[in-house]
Amino acid sequence: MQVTELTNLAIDLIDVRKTYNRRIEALRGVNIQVGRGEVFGLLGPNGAGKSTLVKIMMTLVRPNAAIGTVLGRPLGNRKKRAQMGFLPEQTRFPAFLTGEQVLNYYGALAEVPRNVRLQRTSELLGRVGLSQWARTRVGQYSKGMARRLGLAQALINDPELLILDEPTDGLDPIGRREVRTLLTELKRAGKTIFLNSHLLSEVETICDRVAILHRGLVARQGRLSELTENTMSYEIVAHGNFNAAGERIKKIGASIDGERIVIPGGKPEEVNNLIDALRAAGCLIESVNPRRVSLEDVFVEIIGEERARTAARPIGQGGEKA
Amino acid sequence: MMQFNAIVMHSFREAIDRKVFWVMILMSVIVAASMASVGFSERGVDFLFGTWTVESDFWSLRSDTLHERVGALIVGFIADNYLGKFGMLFALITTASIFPALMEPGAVDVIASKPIDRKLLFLYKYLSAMIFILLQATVFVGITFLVMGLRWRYWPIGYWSLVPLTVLMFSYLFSLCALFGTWFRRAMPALILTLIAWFCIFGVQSAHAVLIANPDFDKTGKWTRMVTAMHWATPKTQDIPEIARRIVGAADFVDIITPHADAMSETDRSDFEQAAEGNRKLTASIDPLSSIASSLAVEAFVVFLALRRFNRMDL
Ligand SMILES: Nc1ncnc2c1ncn2[C@@H]1O[C@H](COP(=O)(O)OP(=O)(O)O)[C@@H](O)[C@H]1O
Ligand SMILES: [Mg+2]
Repeated sequence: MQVTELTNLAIDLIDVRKTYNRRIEALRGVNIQVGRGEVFGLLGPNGAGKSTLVKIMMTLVRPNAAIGTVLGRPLGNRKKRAQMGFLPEQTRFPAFLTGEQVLNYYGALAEVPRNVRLQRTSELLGRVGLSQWARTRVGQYSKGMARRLGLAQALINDPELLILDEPTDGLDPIGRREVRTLLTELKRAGKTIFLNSHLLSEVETICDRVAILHRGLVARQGRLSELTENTMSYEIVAHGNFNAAGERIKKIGASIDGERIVIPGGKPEEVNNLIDALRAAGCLIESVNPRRVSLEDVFVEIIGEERARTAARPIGQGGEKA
Repeated sequence: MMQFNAIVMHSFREAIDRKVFWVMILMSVIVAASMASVGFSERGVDFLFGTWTVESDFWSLRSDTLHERVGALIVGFIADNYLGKFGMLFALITTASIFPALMEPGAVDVIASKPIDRKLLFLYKYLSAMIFILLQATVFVGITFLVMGLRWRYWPIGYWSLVPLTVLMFSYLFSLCALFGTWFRRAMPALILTLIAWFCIFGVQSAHAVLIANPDFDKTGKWTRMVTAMHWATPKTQDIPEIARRIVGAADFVDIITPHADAMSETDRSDFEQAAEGNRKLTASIDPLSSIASSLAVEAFVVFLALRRFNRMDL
């Protein structure tokens, strides 16, 4: 049923379009669905339109066209923002306030009752590792500290849906790990998280599903495993003369690089058959390793494909796979 | 209400964090102190806390009309110049950054993503500027009221009307500042354009005043009609001192000088009488209610433009 479907989706965006200043086509018809409790990663090179999309969800940017719902309500619903938390790509906090005062101020704007927000302020400052700095003016915070405060600010209303634009931007490796841990905890608590990133490794470690945005269109969307499975490969290292198995190697599209044979795809039968052929030819097998292609490889491949295609014909809609 | 309080408190903190706020308070104290250095006795006027006395029948406690005339000076100096020009300028300098600061990238993203209506966010910010000026004006009027009462035994209750009137005058100008601020998203251009607009507003009102006081300057009446039409669509900042004077119950400036006119030469006196006549016509032409109503209508229109822009823009 349509209704239950809608309520099961935290984010359901249909044909979102945005042209800035009548010239810059930032989004050209984006469709994205995110289920409740999911961690969703929106990937894309700089300028792909990631920030524009989340700003539209937060009503900071007015779309030219958009149908869709966020938390079951039409895009732009004010009340629903009370259940959302947002960390913008760039944050600038009033320099004359302390970390504590900043959270208290934004908490009030998020309509969190005073006693709740006081309690949550100290709890959140602890969670993002800023307890010691609670009474320090934000003007003295480093970039990484400001980023953590930004994250705390997004959580002040204990949101159901968390939208993060480049959450680990400006953080050092330790900070990044802490953020990942925090996000994992939030996921366990049942929160839906939508994050933008151009850092693939981030997305790979925490996201359930991803979409790859390229020049305002979703080039791919799906589970991480779906996106990477076609690009799984095996690597056999063997010694001896491979010529006798040449026929077989050619047939399965494997390539030879010295003593290495790389078999594309994820079929163990093919690998076993090849091993049999190699053994029959008297070769000595040293090792067999599955190699999962990283999201980065997929990303580079997709973006490369899309770039090649854009010149020739319009890019296909999101969600489809070649 | 929670959001309103938070925004007003925040704007207040933002303001007191800036030096110009304290400069304004300091200036108020200096003005009050210099007023306190002047006193009136049975003999005349004491300056510099009594170190120098000028004997006068007229400017002494013996005169029945002393307070009316002191009131005229005070209104002329405070309502027209101190609060009306100097104070306005400083108030605009302090508040010109309110909208640009609100819309700064990184700042606005956080605020506007909270569950607050954008139109309300704008109006709350607008109101917080008013509340800020209300505080400044109250401090100033409060201490100068005490000075006048304690030093001069002059307790004009109507003097307190300068608090709302100052806020009113400021709001005429701040609407423009808010419009320019939302348009350019930078404080400096907003301030400069507001000052230019104020200068134009002042020009229209001055031209109007000249034509009202001297009807024979414009024989055909063409200019008068044009300037009157423009005057209607202008926030009438210059009417505020006259409105204040009436509420305070102070004498008109002309009336203060009139008793001295006998001592003038023949030509000076005829010039003075002509000027006084023009001034009376001008004063008579000011109707507080329609002046304020038409000015507020202009302000509302300007605020509407700023609000619409703010509501539609990509932040
Ligand atoms: N406020 C704006 N005005 C005009 N163009 C903009 C604005 N914001 C973004 N853009 C343009 O829209 C495109 C997408 O930008 P953005 O959404 O920030 O991408 P991303 O976050 O993926 O790097 C870019 O070409 C950018 O220059
Ligand atoms: Mg971005």
